[in-house]
Amino acid sequence: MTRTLHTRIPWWGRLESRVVAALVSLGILCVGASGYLAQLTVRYFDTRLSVAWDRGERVVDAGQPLYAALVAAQKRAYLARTQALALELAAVADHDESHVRVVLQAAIAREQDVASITAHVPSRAPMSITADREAQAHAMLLSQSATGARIGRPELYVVVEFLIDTTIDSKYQTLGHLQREIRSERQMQANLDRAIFRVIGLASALVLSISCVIGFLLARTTTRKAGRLSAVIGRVAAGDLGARASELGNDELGQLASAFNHMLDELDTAQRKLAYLQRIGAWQEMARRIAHEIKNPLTPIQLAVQQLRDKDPGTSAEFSRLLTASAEIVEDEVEALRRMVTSFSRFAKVPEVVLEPVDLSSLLDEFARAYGHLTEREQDTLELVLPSQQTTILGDRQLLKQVLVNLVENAVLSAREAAVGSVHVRLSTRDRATSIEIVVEDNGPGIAADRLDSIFEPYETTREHGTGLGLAIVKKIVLDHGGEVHVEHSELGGARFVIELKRVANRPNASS
Amino acid sequence: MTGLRRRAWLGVLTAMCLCSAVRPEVLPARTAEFAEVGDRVLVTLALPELVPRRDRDAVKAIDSGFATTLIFDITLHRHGISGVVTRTRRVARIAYNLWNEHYEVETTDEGAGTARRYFRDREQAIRAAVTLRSFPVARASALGRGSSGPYYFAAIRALRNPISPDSWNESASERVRGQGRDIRWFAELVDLLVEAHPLAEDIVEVRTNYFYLVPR
Repeated sequence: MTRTLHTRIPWWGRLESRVVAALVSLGILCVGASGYLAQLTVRYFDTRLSVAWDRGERVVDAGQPLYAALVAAQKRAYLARTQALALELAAVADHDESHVRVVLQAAIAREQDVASITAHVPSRAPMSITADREAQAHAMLLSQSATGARIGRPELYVVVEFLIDTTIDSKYQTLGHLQREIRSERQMQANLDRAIFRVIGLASALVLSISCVIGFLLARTTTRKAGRLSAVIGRVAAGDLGARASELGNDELGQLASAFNHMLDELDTAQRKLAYLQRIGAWQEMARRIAHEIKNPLTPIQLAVQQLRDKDPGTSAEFSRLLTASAEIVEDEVEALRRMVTSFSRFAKVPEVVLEPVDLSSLLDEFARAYGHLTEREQDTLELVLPSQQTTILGDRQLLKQVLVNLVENAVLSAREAAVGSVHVRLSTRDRATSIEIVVEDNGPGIAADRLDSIFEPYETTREHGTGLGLAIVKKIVLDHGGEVHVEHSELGGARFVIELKRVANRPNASS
Repeated sequence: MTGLRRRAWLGVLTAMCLCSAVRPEVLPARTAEFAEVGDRVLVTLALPELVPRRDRDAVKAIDSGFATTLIFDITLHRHGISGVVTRTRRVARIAYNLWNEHYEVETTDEGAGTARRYFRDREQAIRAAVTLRSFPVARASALGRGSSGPYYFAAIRALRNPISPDSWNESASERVRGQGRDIRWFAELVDLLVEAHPLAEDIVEVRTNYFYLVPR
């Protein structure tokens, strides 16, 4: 398994390569589809544009004969008006010259678009009259002539110059300009299409490149996280339980790393508990055997000593004193051994924990009432701080009392040995989110920093008369409860033992 | 291949590239007449290919009454020296007048005003429009003299119905932000990538023979 985790994956098999390949494929697909759609759109509008241009050109083509027809009609009208003037002149041609001039002046005054009139009357000099009009400067001149042939006076000849508004012509020229623009646009269309496709191609390539780079960076970031996590898993699999995944952010991989680290922490704690319990178990077995081996000869020794004392003949006072003193020494030592055996037996026979809901306040209250004598001296104080609200824990009532007894007794005896004067032991609780802490602290000598880790090991004691089993029993019972115990420095000046136990959710109306 | 030979090949390639970049101008030559009248140097030259007879659309456009505009840009160059000695322009306009039923040729020379001529015959009108007859290209006093030089020649660039710049830019001020701005950028990019922007319906570019001013 370890070898598998450490095997280098070929580049084509890596998640990074696959994610990048997938992103690039997706990008090509999207860009390709978009490009094809853009091409279709351009073609479609090209077609529509061609239709529009065709129609525009047809409009211009239709305008050309229309303009020619307009010009022809207008010219015919001018000719008719000239002929009408010739008729008027024919009527006065035989009169005085002044009559002819009057007719011409009346005509030029009447006809607003006439620039000049020249009349050739028989046997007279040509008579010309010009209008003084501002419009002449901006108009085109059109000459129309008429003769008197139709009225039997072929010698009569009239020339009229008409003013033509150039606006019509300029509009017609605009039409021609539009026609040229349409044709040039048509010629440009193929070039424009190619240029548009190039722009779309360049833009697509740019977008695709940016997508590839971003995709590569994203994939690399993600797969590197996975790689780092995989490396940590490999180290753990190789036996390095101290390995931990580094911070991988707040995404799913980050959560996975946090969960993995939490799992390793739990595993580490469980391993330490298991190792401790195994050690305690071994010590318990040894204590049980030692107690058994020592306990059996104690009674015969004690009986033998009593018999020796009883059989003293009393012949020698000195011998009697020696016998009595020796017997007392042996009996004292036997009693000490018996107490030790009792401690060993108690340590070896810590009962199994039977868990049940226990009200913490009542447990502490019972303890204070039953074991208040531990601080029976006037100057000694056992301060009990009950929890502010009802708190239920899962525990074995008797064993938990045993734990408190051991801790308080240990605190009192340590303080007394250190001769601190007034012994102050405080028993309190602290609420935690899912647990409750029972705190026993004192004003004794405390525990040296280098012994904080070994204080719960069996037979570890600094007290003169201690067996080193009390705290070991405490820890075993607490661990059997699924809890934790640790020691730290107290603000009272001594040690603070903190027992953390799981709490039971308070049921509604539990007090009732 | 040794390093020396590789460098030689690279040198040849570089030289070829440079030669292709600096190749001489290849305007077709056209014989023109130059004359010195007073202080003016006049040129006479015809460019009939500007409105060819075979171009039915061009002829039809003239007959329809639509004006056909011809622009002649004439630059005078001195042989052996880059740069322009003088630059001048003629704008000719040829159209059939449906009212008066004749062809009108209107020419506007730079600094010389406008002249208008009338023709009953289309061919004559076209010939008059595409011919630079005694067209002043320079002041004689500004040119050098002598049969041994300096020598001059004229380059003519003639456009038939020049196409006005893209009307896209006409409303550019309205497209300065938002989607309009994006469309303007897109249009500029498209313009950049268009292979060739037609400047006119037809373009004729020629250069004349060399001439010199007779020494006095």
